[in-house]
Amino acid sequence: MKKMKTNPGLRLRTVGRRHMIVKVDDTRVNMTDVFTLNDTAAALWRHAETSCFTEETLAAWLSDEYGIGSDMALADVREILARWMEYGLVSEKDNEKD
Amino acid sequence: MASADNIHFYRVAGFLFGVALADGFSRAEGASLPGYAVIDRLLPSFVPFRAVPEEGEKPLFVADVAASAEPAVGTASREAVVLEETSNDMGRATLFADGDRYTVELTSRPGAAACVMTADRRFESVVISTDMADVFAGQTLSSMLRIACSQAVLPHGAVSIHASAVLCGGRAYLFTGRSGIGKSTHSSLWLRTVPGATLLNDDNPFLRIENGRAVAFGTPWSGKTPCYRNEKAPVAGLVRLRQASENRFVPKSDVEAFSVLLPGCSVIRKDRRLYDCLCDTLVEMSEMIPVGILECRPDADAVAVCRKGLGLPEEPCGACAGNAGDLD
Repeated sequence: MKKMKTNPGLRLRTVGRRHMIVKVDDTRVNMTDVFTLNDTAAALWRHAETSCFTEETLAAWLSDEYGIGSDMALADVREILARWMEYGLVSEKDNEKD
Repeated sequence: MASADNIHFYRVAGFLFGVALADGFSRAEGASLPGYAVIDRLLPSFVPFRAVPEEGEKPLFVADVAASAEPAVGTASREAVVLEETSNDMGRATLFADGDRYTVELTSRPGAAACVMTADRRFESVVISTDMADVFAGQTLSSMLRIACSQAVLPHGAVSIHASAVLCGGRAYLFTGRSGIGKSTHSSLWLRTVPGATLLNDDNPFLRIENGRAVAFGTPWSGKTPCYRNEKAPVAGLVRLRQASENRFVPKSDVEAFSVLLPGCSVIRKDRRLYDCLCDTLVEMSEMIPVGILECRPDADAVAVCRKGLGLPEEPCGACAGNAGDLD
């Protein structure tokens, strides 16, 4: 099970009725990414940022919180984590010094 | 160090800051001139913003300005890391992170001596060295103070934004967009076609949250247009301009409004604390200000489309003849 964590310096913010994460791009000059999250993704993020997690622990939490089947929860979590990983919002914990 | 009686105070967007000129400046003028005479010559756009501190009021910073062709203080050390580099018509600016301080080097033109500013990470202790012999000494000093101010206000619910701002009916309307997109052109179209519209600032107004409202302020920094009005007005629209073949207004809200506000704001992007302050302020402002994108041509119809998009009453065409602004 891969241990993961949300990347440092990222904060979930709520604007009106929407949620977002603002990420300064270190590689491209003057570029900033603003990611929009729906309510479920925002709740998942808030849970994820409290400690390190795995796909399985997040899925279990999602399954409990929203009363959905564990298979569906795991599929949803995998999909969203793949996207967060691609966007540089989360990373695997294993290879890091801390 | 400057003594208390040669500190000149200014207030921009309600924020007090000071400028202390070293003795070299009076000597360079060839005479000891009283009060603000020397600094007014260096910083003419600051005159409307002169201020007297309130009893016990603490300024954001007092910038110590040394007149020196060879900046002894503040030159970036070898360990300094370049954070940002920008070039515009004011010259070339380089921002370094140097230990626990920032260093900004500004060169007005190739070959000119650099004006150097160092500041702590909070922009509370600011030292500027400038070459008095440089004909652009005043302009570079003004630019340095803009950089210091724009960062120092961020933790206080305020922001310096690259925009052209007009006043109309006691409200401010701001136009943003990348350089050369036509911000000033669009503003001047408002002045020409909307009765009573005036220019508040053409390049760097400040925005600040006051009593739950976003308020725009004139500043000593207005790009190429000498428009240094010490005035303020609640913001009733902030519009990002895009050149297009047809005029169209696209309203934006929530996260999209935030994304429209963000790019024009002055912030050291790699400073997590300042960037967080900016985001917090803009999140609030996104809900206070009507925001949109205006795809536009440089014509009077663009103003009508913009005003309609912001929910403003239509102005009868032709009623505005003779109301041209003084920008041309």
